[in-house]
Amino acid sequence: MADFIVGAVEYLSKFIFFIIAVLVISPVLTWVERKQSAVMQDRIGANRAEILGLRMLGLFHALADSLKLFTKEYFVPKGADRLIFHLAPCISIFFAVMGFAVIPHADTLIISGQPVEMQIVNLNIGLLYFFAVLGMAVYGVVLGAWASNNNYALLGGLRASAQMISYEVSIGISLVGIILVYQSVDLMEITRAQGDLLFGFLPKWGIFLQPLAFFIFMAAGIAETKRIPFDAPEGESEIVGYFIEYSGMGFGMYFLTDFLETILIACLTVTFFLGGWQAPFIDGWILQTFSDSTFLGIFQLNNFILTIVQFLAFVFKVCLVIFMMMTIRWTLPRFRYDQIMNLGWKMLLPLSLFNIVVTAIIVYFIG
Amino acid sequence: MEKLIGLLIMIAVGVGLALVFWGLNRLLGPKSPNVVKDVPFETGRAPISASGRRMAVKFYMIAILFVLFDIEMIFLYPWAVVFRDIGAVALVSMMIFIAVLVLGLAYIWKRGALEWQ
Amino acid sequence: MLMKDQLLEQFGDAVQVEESAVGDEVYVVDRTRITEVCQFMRDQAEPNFSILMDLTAVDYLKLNHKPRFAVIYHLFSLSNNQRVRIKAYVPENDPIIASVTHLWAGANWYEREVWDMFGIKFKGHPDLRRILMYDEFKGHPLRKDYPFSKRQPLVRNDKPYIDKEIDAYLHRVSGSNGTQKTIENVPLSMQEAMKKALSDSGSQSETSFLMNMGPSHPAMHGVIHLLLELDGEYVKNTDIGIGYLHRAFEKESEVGKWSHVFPYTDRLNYVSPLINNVAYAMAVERLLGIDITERAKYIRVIMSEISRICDHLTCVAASGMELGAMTVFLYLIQAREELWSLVEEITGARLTVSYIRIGGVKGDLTAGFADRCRAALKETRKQVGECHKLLTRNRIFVDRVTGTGVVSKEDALSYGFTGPVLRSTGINYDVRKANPYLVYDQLDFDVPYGENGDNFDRYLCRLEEIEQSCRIIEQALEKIPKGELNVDYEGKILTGHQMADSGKFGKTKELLKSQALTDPTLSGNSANNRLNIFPDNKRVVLPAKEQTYGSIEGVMNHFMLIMDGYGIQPPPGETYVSNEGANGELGFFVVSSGEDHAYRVRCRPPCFALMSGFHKMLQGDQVADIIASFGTINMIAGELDR
Repeated sequence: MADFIVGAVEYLSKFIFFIIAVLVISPVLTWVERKQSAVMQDRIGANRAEILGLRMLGLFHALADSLKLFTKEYFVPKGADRLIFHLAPCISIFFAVMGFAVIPHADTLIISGQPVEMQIVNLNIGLLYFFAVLGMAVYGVVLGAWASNNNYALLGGLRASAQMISYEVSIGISLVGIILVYQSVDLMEITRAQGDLLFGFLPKWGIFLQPLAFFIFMAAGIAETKRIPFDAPEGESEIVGYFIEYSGMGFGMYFLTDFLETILIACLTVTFFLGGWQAPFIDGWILQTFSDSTFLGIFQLNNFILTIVQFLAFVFKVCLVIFMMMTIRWTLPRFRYDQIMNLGWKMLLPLSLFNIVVTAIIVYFIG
Repeated sequence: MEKLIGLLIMIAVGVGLALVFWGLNRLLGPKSPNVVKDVPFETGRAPISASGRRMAVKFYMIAILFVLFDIEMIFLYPWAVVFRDIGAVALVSMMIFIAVLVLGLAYIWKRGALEWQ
Repeated sequence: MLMKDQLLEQFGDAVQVEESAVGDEVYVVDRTRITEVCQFMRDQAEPNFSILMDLTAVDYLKLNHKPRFAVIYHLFSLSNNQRVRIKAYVPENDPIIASVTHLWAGANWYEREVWDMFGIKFKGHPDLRRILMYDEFKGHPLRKDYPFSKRQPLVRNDKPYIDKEIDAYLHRVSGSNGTQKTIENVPLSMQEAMKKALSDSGSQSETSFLMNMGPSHPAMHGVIHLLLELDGEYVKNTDIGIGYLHRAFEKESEVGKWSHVFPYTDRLNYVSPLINNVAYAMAVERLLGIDITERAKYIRVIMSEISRICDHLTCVAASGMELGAMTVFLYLIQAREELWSLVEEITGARLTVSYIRIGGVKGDLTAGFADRCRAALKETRKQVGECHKLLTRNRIFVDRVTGTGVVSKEDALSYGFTGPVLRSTGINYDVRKANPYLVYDQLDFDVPYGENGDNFDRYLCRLEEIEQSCRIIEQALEKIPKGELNVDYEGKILTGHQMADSGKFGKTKELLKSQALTDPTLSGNSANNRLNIFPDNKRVVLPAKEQTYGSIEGVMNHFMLIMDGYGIQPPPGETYVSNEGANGELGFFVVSSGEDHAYRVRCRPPCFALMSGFHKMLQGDQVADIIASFGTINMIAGELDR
């Protein structure tokens, strides 16, 4: 029985961020998107959905929206490839979910004396895994677009695939700098390496060591999520989007994928550049202040509190990055397809190569 | 092996989520197909050209470029991990590698492969 | 040398001068020599008439004129702002005239419209298809013998129209070659591609394919349909289909009274309805030969400029939104909201204002209007400033709109572009400066113009025009004189009328208090006395509702203006009057037969010319640029389709 509880707690703690991301952050994101844009644009925003007279600033809209999508007709257009048409959104959401497997959301938690890494799967090739997942995400979009038998969807799909694979190159090369600095492709190791302080006051975060890579990664990351200003594949006022033929939850899954990818990119930005779960300055203080006495039977008090703080720090940083992405989304107009490709191949790619060279030289001489 | 249990759970969750979304919608949603609804939506008129045709070569070019640069990127990763252990040799050899890469980029740029016009 | 002498010298008997009661310059040309005359006017005449402003027709059936039809050309000379009307009579039994499309590209659509509406054929026209009506329509609706109330179903063979296309599509998908889609529905230049698309679906060449954009595309608002021939992401060829919002404005105008046309004009360019009101009123007043009071002129200017600002704000806002900048949209709409509140305060309505009257305006400015107006202009300037910050200095936006949707000077003139689109190419033509009307010559303002004729120049032109309109309004508010608002038919100033309909603002108390007293002489068989009771039966302006409901004179006045056979009756004649609409020259060509309703009202909508040249702007651009170009053109289907 005790073993079972320990096991359950262990897995729960490993999955806690994923559960929160899927069940809390992504539904709330739909609300945040509406409400934040409303605040930016001097409007009221969503506030009508109510349960028993309770409106909660329109928070229930996320619920109402998903209920609506579930009860919409899911129809397949004439001439579509039925199997692939049904499969494509599932592929999309599957790989968006899989991306969360390697995100570390806290340091090790000690459960009945055993250290447990706060990461669903502790892959030592986490970074490569992330690229594999990212690469696969293109399939959901392209297949869905192709299977729809629709010219607009096809245009959107082609744009999406061209855009996503182009920016994957930039993302990949920009992260080489991070690997050079932290000497690992394991996301947990990379995060741990960001725990020290530079010059005694500056956290040794990626954003301070690799500022150029941060901007490249952010830009390319937003491009991967296909959000404004990189939403040429959707471009609702231009080509309506690669999911033009999808109704009901078919569309819903693409929609959810978008939000999950936004969270995923935010998580990765935090992990690589904003110190991941590191809570600088207070982690040492917590360890000293609280004793390492047993807590709730299976935890160590100071380790437990530290883990909670780290987890909160991680969630906070992720929300901050998402907030930034939303602000960008509601400020800028949309790129045109050729502008996107130019930015990717002629700006970001050379810059990220330049970043590697400079980083390598500095690392070599300074160590 | 134990490590991969988490991964298996994630796969199950991913597949399950997709199945639930898809299945519930099929279950709860109405089904009332009709001729007009079934025609692919080309903003109000029946499509003239059926899609599913071959696409312009340009997109093929992008795919090729992607494969090239992605593979080279993968070469950079192990190098970056062990860079400090190897030292000068790594620096010089990878500088040459990147120089070749940049040359390649400059070449395709010059040849107009990066012109989207 | 005068135009008249030049023409007579060149063409002799083939040209006759027609006397115009209102002073328009009109020449009647033999229809066999119309192209020669037009060519002469365009190239050799001094001054030369480089713009074909309008091309329309009139059916003189009811006036018993032989020949029955006249095709009417309105030419405009940029060099000295002169307007000339050329008329060519076309007989009923042989309704053919030579096309002038080779002289002015803009004639293409005008001639198609004349063919559609009057059934006059144009020899040498490259692409004479219906334009406003649908292909299945039988007859030509603007002919006088087409009954006003005759309805035709939008369906053929009792099947929904769309079924035909869908049937054809399903045939293609299922492999067989069973298409009934009429290939004549697309222009000649695209028929080749169309044939290819229809014959071997699936294995098309990868160089080009056809795609529909609209009518229910989110960016094709106002409802138009583009048939695109695409090469990957690039536009090779475009066919623009319009008429989805056709409401028979011109036909309806022939049925109601002269003043009944105002509500229809509201719905032409529904973003700036007041300018349409003013243009129509000016045309009828010119026929009547009356000049309105100074105060009414100022009020018209103020309201027109408010409308123009609203129009430009909407245009910039919407094109920003379509390019993904949603926030800009809401900022600018907020400014428009303030202005619309002003419009509502004065006219009682926000969109369908019907505020201008023949002979004046409906009501005076409200107390404190000037201050509220200045506050609204301040807000407008603030929001335009935000727009500059968010778009004008935004690299993404600038890159997207620079060099896209380019139109050259020559094309712009050839297609008869006017307004901001023409000015963006560097041609500084503005009706307010060229033929100053109302009191524009007493106000100090600049007309901004660009140089490249691309989307960015158009965008900047519009933003600058907002600023200039603000200046005009501020000056007008300073200068506006006190005085009466309305004049009657003979030009006498109307006194003692509080023209505002307070009932429209919900102030019905006064109306309830003042009950109409029925004059005993009206009851019974006292028809002989009625002549003595009529106040001024020639009055042009409808009385205010308080008058109508509150006094017998008002009731009578109203009654007489509304009743069949009385009303306003301008002397027989024709005239063309234009003003500067938000999108360019908004012209009204009105024909009076001396009756109380118009014989013909022709609206020259600025959008029509713009849309007829739209495909030129798209050529070589990307699919995404269509949206940007369409946004800066600011097509309003209300006036395009009428």
